[in-house]
Amino acid sequence: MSMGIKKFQKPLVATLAASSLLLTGCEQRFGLPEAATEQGKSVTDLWLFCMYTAIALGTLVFFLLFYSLIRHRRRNNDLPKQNEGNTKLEAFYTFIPFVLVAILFGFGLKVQIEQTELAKDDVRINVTGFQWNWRFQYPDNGVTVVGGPQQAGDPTESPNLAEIVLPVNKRARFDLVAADVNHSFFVPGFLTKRDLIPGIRNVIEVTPNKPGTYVGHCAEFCGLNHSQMNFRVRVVEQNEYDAWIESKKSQGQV
Amino acid sequence: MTEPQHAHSDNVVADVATPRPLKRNSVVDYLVSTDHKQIGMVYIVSAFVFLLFGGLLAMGIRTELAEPGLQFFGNETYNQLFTMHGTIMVFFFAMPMLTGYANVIFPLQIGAPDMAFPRLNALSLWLFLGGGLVMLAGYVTSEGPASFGWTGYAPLSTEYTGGTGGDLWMLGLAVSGVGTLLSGVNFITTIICLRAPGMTMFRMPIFTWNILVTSFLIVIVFPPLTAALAMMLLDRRLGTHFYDATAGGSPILWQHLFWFFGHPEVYILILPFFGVVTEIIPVFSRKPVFGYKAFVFATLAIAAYSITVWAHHMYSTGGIVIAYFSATTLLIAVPTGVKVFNWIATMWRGSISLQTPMLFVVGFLITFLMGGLTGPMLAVAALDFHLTDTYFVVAHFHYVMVGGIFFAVFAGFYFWWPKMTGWMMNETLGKWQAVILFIGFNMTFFPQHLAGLRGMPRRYADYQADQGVNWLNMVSTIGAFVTLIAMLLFVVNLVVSRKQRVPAGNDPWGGNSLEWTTTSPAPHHNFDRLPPIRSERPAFDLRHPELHHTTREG
Amino acid sequence: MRTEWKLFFFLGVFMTPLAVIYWVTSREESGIILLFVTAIACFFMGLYLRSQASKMDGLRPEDRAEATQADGVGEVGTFPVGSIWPFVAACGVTLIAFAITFQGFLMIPALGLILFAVAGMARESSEGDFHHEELTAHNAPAEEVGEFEQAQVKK
Repeated sequence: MSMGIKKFQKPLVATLAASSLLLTGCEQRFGLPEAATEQGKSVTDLWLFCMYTAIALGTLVFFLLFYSLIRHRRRNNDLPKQNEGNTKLEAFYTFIPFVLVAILFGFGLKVQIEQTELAKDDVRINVTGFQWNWRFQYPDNGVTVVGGPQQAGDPTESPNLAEIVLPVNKRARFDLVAADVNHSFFVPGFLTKRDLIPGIRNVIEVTPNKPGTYVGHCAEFCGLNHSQMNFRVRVVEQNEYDAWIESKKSQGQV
Repeated sequence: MTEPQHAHSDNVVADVATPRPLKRNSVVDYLVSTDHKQIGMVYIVSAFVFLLFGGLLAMGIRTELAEPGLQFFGNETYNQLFTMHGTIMVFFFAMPMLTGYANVIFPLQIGAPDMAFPRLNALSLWLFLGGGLVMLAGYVTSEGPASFGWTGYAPLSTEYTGGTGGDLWMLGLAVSGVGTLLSGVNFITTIICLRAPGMTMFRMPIFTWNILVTSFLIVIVFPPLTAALAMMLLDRRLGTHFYDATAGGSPILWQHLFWFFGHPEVYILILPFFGVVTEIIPVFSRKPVFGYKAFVFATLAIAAYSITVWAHHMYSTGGIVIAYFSATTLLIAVPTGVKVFNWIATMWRGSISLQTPMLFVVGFLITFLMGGLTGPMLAVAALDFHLTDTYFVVAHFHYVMVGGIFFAVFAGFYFWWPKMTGWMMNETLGKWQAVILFIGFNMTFFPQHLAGLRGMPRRYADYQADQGVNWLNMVSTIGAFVTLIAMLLFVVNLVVSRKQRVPAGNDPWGGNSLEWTTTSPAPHHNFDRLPPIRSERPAFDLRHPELHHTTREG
Repeated sequence: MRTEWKLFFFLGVFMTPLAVIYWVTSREESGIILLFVTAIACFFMGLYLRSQASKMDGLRPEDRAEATQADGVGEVGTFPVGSIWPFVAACGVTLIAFAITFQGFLMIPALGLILFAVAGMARESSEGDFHHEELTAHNAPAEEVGEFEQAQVKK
């Protein structure tokens, strides 16, 4: 009997490991978008650490669970040994998760401090969220962008979406202000978000390092047209950025 | 109404303690009843009705999200759908379900004749139903029910949402919240004062322990909620400025007060169902609970920490001390982990029979573990900044809450239904339901992890077609319909089992705790004769007098 | 009652440092108040139960591991057979909610119902159809307990 069980122990472990890998996404980032900022790199590392730990831990527990379910299922009416506990074992599996979360806490705090510390910025943008759109002001250049009315499901490229243009590899600072209710400034590609709350001033600083177009959302529920409060971030080379600023300026002076 | 039935009369012992036995089965009987079993039954039945309604709202949400674009509902209707779905599922399905199970089961488990305050118990029940009525009255107002999300963040819920639906939402929560608070007081008093001789604290079944700890949490956190709701109502109706930043108030105060209630609330919801699982595993493994005291202290630790973690819902607000909340939140993973390992250790080298309740418990263990593994990721602020308010969070809490509560509710239902009514549920249909529910549940919520990681925010009536989340949402919607099939199967099972009327007898499963030594259903005042209580498994001791057992001092 | 009071007292001891740390690290008032009130409430419960325990002579049967069912024989308490008043009171409270949202005049019948229910509840425990019954632990004559116990000791 036990031979039969042993025979499928290995496939069981392999299947569990493979399925957890497969289910969480085949890319090596387990579904997390590629970081488009310098700050996003350490977030990705932290995420990978979490995922590897979670997969290892999950595989272990699932293995124990299924092993017990298969191996120890009822075969006769005998009463099994009435084991009421084992203090050493319990202390052991109290201690191991404690160590794991302590490491996770330290690692997480380090990344979070890196993520939130403020340094000298190159581009400054005042972000105002209102029901249900965005206003982006470049105070150094006097440029203001306001989103147009959006339709349900407008694609990222839609001209109605409010747009932020950023020079690549320059540190950008976003000052977040809510005009009415709570909103949240969320660019999935930047791997971060922060709420806009009346009475609280929040700041995000990121250094985008991959040119491209990124979608942005309002992530805090803000009423009727919450899901139509999207925007777009374009990360471009410095000269393209300068040209964009100039064109916006000339538009503004008209 | 499903009411207790005397399935086979020879099992029911004449009730000598009742001078005026009440006529059973009438509506009036339930209106005047102060019997904890009948009250619990009304709780459970109404919770299922609310579950079906909340589930219907969820089907609406998933149908709308199947494809990008608004096909079925407008923005406002969609916002009402998820607001009422969240509110009903948390306050009018999960809460009454736990008070229902607590009512029916734990007085039996400690050998009490009834609750300490039976009339207060009835008042709790009717306040809960009254609160539900007030909440649902939003549907008959011209503007419809509340639409600001079940978290009701100010100032959206104060100055920026008109209509009476919002007021009814606050009042409904406050009324049913008072009912819950009274239940908590009642449970604590009953557990402290009405235990049978020899039933020391450390011989109480884990379910009763968890009800005690849950009641403690209820008493601590429901008053702040009621106060916060009252302030919000004043802001709306009388123009005060508690949550109004433009007049010196603070929108973040609402978040603090709400989550000071809201986070312990999820433990209020899950701890009793941890208890249900901890009752079922030993019975179907024929072993005692592994690490009884570890279970008790883990529950206490979870409860105590849960009071100090509220602001982990608020990392992205920038108004809180993140390190404190991150540390306490991560620490909760430790006692939770102890519980998971103890469950498996209880099964280890046992004699496991996968009958329907145990099958649901396996579903619980798998889904809860998956939810538990994503928890620490959200506890770390650096990751939470990306993940919060996306579908990743939705997936996480549906894994712990739906996985935790749903599977445990059905496990407990199949386990205790024979005790409540005297007849068994159909095993075949039950097993099919467990398997289909598991498949449907995972199909619905697993893709939401990926959708959230890709940046799909929650509470979006619509999403852009070029975000790469289309197929994920389609799979999720199909999964929701599979879950619906499982639910319909449950209703079919109720009808079929009621027709079949397979008598349960006192103890269909080989149970451990005291409730299995009385008749099914238990007589008025529960016990005609109590067995001696020498361990936390008095029913087991009766069946196995030959076994030497340890005496647990209390 | 020893375990009971220790339980709540322990929770208070557990909460106090968490409240102090929060106080020191954060300036946020609502959380400080909530955490300290939680700790105080735990101590309050613990000390109350302790004072109750010290008033009792000896341990209650439910606190003694060796107690038999015979020890519990006697009056358990009084329990109502049934009561309509909780339902009436809850109807009143629900009506208050509707009075606040819809029509103010509903407040009058609402308060009337609540008063009516409170009066009814206060009266019914002594008289009428639903008067409380005194429940005595009748469930185990001593001899039967003896049988159980003997079955227990046999190995």
